[in-house]
This record gives sequence, structure tokens and C-alpha cells, in this order.
Amino acid sequence: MLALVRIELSKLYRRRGTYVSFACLAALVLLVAVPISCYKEKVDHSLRDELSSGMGDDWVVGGKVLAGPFVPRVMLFWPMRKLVVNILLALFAAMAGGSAIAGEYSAGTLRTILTRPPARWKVFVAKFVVMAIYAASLAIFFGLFAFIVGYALFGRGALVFADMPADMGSGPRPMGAPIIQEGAAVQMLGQAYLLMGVSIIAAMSLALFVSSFTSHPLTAAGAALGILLLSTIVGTLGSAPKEIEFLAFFRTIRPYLLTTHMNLYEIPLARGLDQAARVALTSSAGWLAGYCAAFFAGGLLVFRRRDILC
Amino acid sequence: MLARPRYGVTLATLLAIWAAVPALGAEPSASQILKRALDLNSGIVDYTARARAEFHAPEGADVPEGQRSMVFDFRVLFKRPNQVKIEANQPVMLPRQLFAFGNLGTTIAREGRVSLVGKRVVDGVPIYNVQVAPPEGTEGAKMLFWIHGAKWTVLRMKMPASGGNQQSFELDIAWTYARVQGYYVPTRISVSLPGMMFGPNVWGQGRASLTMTDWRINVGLKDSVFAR
Amino acid sequence: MEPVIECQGLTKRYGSLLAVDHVDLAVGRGEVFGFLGPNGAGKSTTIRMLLGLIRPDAGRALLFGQSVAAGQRRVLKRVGALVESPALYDYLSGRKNLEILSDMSGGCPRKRIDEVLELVGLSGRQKDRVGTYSHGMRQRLGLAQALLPKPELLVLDEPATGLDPEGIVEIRNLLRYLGESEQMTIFVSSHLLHEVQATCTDVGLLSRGRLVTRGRVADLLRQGHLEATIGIDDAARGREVLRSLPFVLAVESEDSALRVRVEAERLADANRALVAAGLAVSALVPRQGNLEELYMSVMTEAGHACSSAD
Repeated sequence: MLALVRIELSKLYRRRGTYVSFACLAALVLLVAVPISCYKEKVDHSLRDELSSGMGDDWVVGGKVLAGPFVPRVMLFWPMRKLVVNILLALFAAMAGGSAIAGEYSAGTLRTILTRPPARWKVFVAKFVVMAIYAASLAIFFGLFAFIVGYALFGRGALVFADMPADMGSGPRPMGAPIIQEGAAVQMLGQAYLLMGVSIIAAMSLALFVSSFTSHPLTAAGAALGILLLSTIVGTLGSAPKEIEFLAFFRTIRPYLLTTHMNLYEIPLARGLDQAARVALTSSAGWLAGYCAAFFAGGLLVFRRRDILC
Repeated sequence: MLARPRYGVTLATLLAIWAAVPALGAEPSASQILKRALDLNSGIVDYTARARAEFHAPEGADVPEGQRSMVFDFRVLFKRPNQVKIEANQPVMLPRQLFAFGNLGTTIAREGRVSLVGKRVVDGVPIYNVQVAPPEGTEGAKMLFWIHGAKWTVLRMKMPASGGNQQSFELDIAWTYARVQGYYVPTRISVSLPGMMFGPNVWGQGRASLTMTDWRINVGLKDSVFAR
Repeated sequence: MEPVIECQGLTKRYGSLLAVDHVDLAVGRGEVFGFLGPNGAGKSTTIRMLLGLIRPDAGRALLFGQSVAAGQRRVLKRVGALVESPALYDYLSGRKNLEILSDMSGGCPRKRIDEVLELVGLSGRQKDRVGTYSHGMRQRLGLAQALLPKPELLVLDEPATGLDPEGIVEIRNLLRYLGESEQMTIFVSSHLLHEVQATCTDVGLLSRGRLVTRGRVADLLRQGHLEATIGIDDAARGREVLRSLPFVLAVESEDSALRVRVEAERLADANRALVAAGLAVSALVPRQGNLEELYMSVMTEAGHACSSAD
């Protein structure tokens, strides 16, 4: 099994296309971080204003407010994180998961490897493991690169950042920005990016499942992405105020949607991992594990019985 | 995010009062005692000092993980009447009154109803209990000060307060001093934070403190130093 | 002795199309077996069922007595296969492809990779990406991967497709060498009937999913009709004598000689009749039958309305 995992890893990381996703994420970080660096003073003033927001002149804001952790945090700014995770990272995961089986099927290489002795379930498990590693590595790379760029541009320091609560739209914030000390900020952001990896693994599992019964990688990736977007739309409708009665159905199903639980990486951003957050996190992680297990089992079942016609 | 305003308000209230410390001779009236405490550092035009602010939330408090325990090291620059600058390699946000001598104390002394409610002698030195009630016809909390009868420094203060959850509790603040360039300047201000500040079922005690060292008084700071 | 390949009532249906219809077939050790049939006859489906790529609807496909479809995949260690066009990883070098496929079979000494690359003439291009290979080179690499595990059974589906004449001769020589010197059992489907005739010891003809003929090439070519050229002193009389014989199917004049078609094994009887009639027979040259004629004849009988082997 380990040999198969090694082979799949070797295939994945020797393909140039694999690095396109990493390059896109790096470009995204630079696209955000470099302008911040160019307008450092303005950002600095804006952060000081954020800090003393609503406090008037009775408070003194001092010290360095723009530091390394700002970049990885700003990459998770609401609603940008929705676009990054639910669309960009999900797209990369869907494409990788889609090509893992459907891609090899259409290229005919699945036929070649399935004439070798390893059992089909082993091949599927190896692909799942490697795709999970890939999905997690996307999120980890994204976070690490953001940290590296952040520290390279702004040096060490604490995090000052005020996010827009997801359910507040563009309304005013009730409080100013919090100050999170460097160690706690690194820990919080590290947790968020790792949990983002878990979310992406779930998206990849869906794509791998679809891939197990489709014949073309784009079909598999497109279908998986379509399901995720649909789920996101339903979840958004389900988060509408209770007064809108005709959306009651969406409110009912929202807690069970894959995309609802894919947002678990937001939990440490809001509160850190305190007791309440741990409960919420455990629940979402359980749901995601359930989804992953279901996609894995479904994919395996189909893959084991599938006729290789191409 | 939840902790910061409470933390700030607490320190603002308690530390604004440290300046309200008199210096006087024998057996003065309550108003005189308070005035001496307030005038204690009126000769300080500007200063710089190194400082460390600490905040530790009580066990069980509903505070985000990263803000449960915070320590800020910084250098503070002050110039009368009200200019404060904080230099640090991390963001620090604190109430201006913490560093501006006397402003709040003056207000209290001018507008409050001051009365001597007790006296105790420790090591031959009287410690006065002065109560400051809100001005006639206004609502507000009564504050109780312990003032050193020889140095005219405020040693301790108690004041009732209420949290966002409408629970009432009492803040207890203590000062320690050092003599620098002829002035008694605070080297440590500490306050215990009752759990009720953070929620109805929080029974632990939190604490906040400000430690100030390396005082340099009347160094001739220019206004441009404080320009943003 | 246990057959190397054994099909028992092997059947596969795609909807209403019966692709393979109760095929019974056995291939013994050391045979070089040619598997013939027009497009859509079910050759590739049969091969895929043998290798476990397709699940049969009925019957069994056994290799060395083991059913791959039933999960007995270890037997594939003894098998090398090239199914249809070689499907390899374009972004990897030829050598890396072989290393990966070797590892999937449990690994082989790197020296063996050198040997097979040498055998198929790709040593000089082994480090180039397969994406840069010509079709013929891919075909050779596909053959190399099949030979990699030193198989006891080699299954080749159209191995000469896309090869230039020189390449076809090389494949022919290679198959002969493997069959004769290495005692390898070879199961090969091909459109090139003369190549099959030149290479194979046995053939099976498949038509519309049914195995219509199976036997040793030499025996099959002797079956049915035999043509011969007869040198004779009086061609006109000789023609009369021959036409009177019931087992002579046709007689034609060819210059001063006669060309006859007789039932198999009855050429000597024809000669005897001519001599008995006082005619001097100066030459009796049987014409060697060929697989193409046999193929066309069998396919016509089977009702396949096709004009060539493809």
C-alpha cells in the first residue's frame, strides 16, 4: 500500500499542472500583500482607526500595528475567504480529485495500472490518500506562503485585524479591532489554515467520488464544483433571516450541508479554540468526516466494480 | 474582542485616579487630603517610562482564546496637558488617562462630594479613608480612597461597577510607588477583575496590571514627538 | 496440463448488444495464439475480461486457473499485457514510466528495465518524456512495460498497430524469439493476418462475439479445400478426367498445366485417377493455403459481411 501511495505521489508531484494551483495561490497572496506593503502607512493609519473605533480620543493607540500575521489573516478576510475556499481551492481540489480516476480513465493509463497485480481497492485508497495529502498541502502552502510573505514584508508583531461578521453584510461593526498577540495569532491562523485543509479534503473526496463513475476529468471536476456551488447557494439562502418564511426549507437543510461544515476553519478566527469553539469544531469535523467516509465508500464501491472500457 | 473594552475601562478608571493623591501636613480635611493627592505630581511637565501592561481573564470567562492572557511591553511618553505616545513593537491600546496626571482626579475633586470616612495608623503613618460621592442631584458610584498621610499617595481604591450583563461588582485597585527625581511616581498599579465582569456564572478572579519603570521626568519633550 | 488461458462460457452484454457470447477457449503453455476477428467481434472485450478490466456477465475467464475478476490478482504477476494503444504517462520519461509500472508489480531490478528498453530499441530515448515519443515508440514502450515482469504469459492487443514495416518485422521476430527461446505463452490479437500466420502456432477466430474457429494454424490451413497445379501431357483429357471425380471442386487451364481445387487430403486420389487414365503427370505442386483465405472463408460462413480482416 505504501508503495502505491509513493507511486501516486510521484505521479502527482512530477506533473507540472500540479504546481499551477500552488502558483495561483502564491500569486493571490502576492496580489494582496504587495499593495498593502506599497500603502503601508495608509494601512497602518486605518488599522489604528480600527483599533480605537468608537472609543474617541480617550484611548491611545501605539506600537506596531501592521506585522507579519496580518497577511495570512487578510487572506481570510470575509467574504474573500468564501471565494478562496469555496471556489478557488475547491476548484483545485475538484480538478485534482476529478483527474485522479476519470483523468486516468480517459487517458487510458487506468487500464495500464489495473492490469498490474495490486487490488483495485488498494489503488483507490492510495489515490484517496494522495489526493487528501494534495488537498491539505494546498491549504498548508497557502497559509505558509502568506506567513512567509507577511513576515518578509512586515516583520514580527501582533495581529490587529477586524473582520466583518459573516452575517452582518456591510453594516457597522459593534467594536473595534482586537489585538491578538503574535504567538496567539500564529496559533489561531495556523489552526484556521489546517482546518481549511480538512475542508478541502472534503471537497476533494466529493470530486474523487464523482470521478469514480465519470469518464472525463472535466466532467468530474465540473460536477463536483457544481454540487459545491449549489450547496453554497442553498446554505446562503438558509442563512437568511427567519422572517423570510418561504426560505424555511433551506434553513432546515442548512445544518446538514457539506459546505456549511466546510466553514469550520472560520471557528478559530472568530473566537480561538475555546470550549464553545471546540464543541462547534468537533461537530463540524464529525460531519466532514462523515461526508468524506461516505464519498470514500461510494467511490470505492463504484471503482471496484467499474468496467474499464477506455 | 470582548476583553479589550472591559480591560481598558477598568484600567482607565483606576489609573486615572492614581493622580488624585495629596501631600499635606497633619490632620487635614477630606477635601484637603484629596487635593494634596491630586497635586502630588503637578510639577511633572513631561516624562518617559518603560511599561508593561498585563491582562489575565478569569477562569471560565467568555474571552477568545488569543486574548485570554495578554502582555504588552512598551515605552510611554507624556507631556502636559494631555499628549501621550506609546512606542512598542506590538500594538498597544490603552486609556489616555492612565498616563495623563490628574485630569480625572481634578474632575472628581472639583465636582464630587468628598468626606473622610476613616483613619488608620500603620507604622506611625495615618492612612486616610476618603469617600467621593457623585455631585448633588446626579447618579453615580461612590468611590473609596486610601491615601497615605505622609506621602499623599493613593494606595488603594474601591469602586462599584457593573458589567455588560448588568451584574454589579466591586473593583479593587492598588498602587505602589517609587520616588524618582523628588516625585512619588507609580511603579505598579494592579486591579483584580471579578468573574462577574465577564459573565453571570464566572466565579474566578482575573487581574490586570500596569508596571512602569525607568522613569525620566521633565526631559523637555517637544510637541513634534507626539505628531501622528 | 492446466491451460494458461481458459474461458468457460464467457459472456458480456452491453445493453442489447451481446459483445461476447459464451466463448469457450483454452490456450496451452507455450502456444503463440492469434486471436482474430473483425472490429466489434469482441476480441478486446474478451482480453479485458481475462485481465479483470471488465466483469463478465456470465462464465469465467481464468489465467493459470485463477480468476482475476474474482479478486485473484496475484496471478497478474505472471502476466504482461498491452491492451490496445499503449497508455502511458506523457509527462514522465519512458524509463520513469517503466519504474512506476515495475513498482506496481512488486518491483524488478533496474537492470531488467535496461534489458527491456534495449530489447525494444528505446535505450537512447529512455530519459525523454513520453509526450515527445512517436506512436511507434509508444508502442515499443508499451511492449516493454508488458515484458518488464518477465511474464509467463504475454497478452498483446494489436501490438503492431502504428508501426512502420521495419517495426512490424521487429515485433514478429521478437514474438518468435519469446515464444521459441523464452517458452513464453503469447496471446495476441491482430489485424495483420500474414503476421499472425508467420508468428502464431494457433489461432482462434471470433465473429459477433462467438468463437467460430480455433486450432493449430497448420491444421486449419489444411482443412477444407486444397489447390494444386498439375503438369500434364494432355491438358484437355486431364480436365475431363478430373471433372468426373466427385471430390474435385474446380478445374481450370493455366497455360499448358491445370489448376485444380480438391477436397482436403484428396490430391493423391486425383493423381491416381490421372495416371490410371494413361496420362503422364509431370508435376504436382500443391499451393500453400493462407490465413487470409481461411479467415475470409470462415467469416463468410459465419455471415460476417466484411471484405477484410479489419
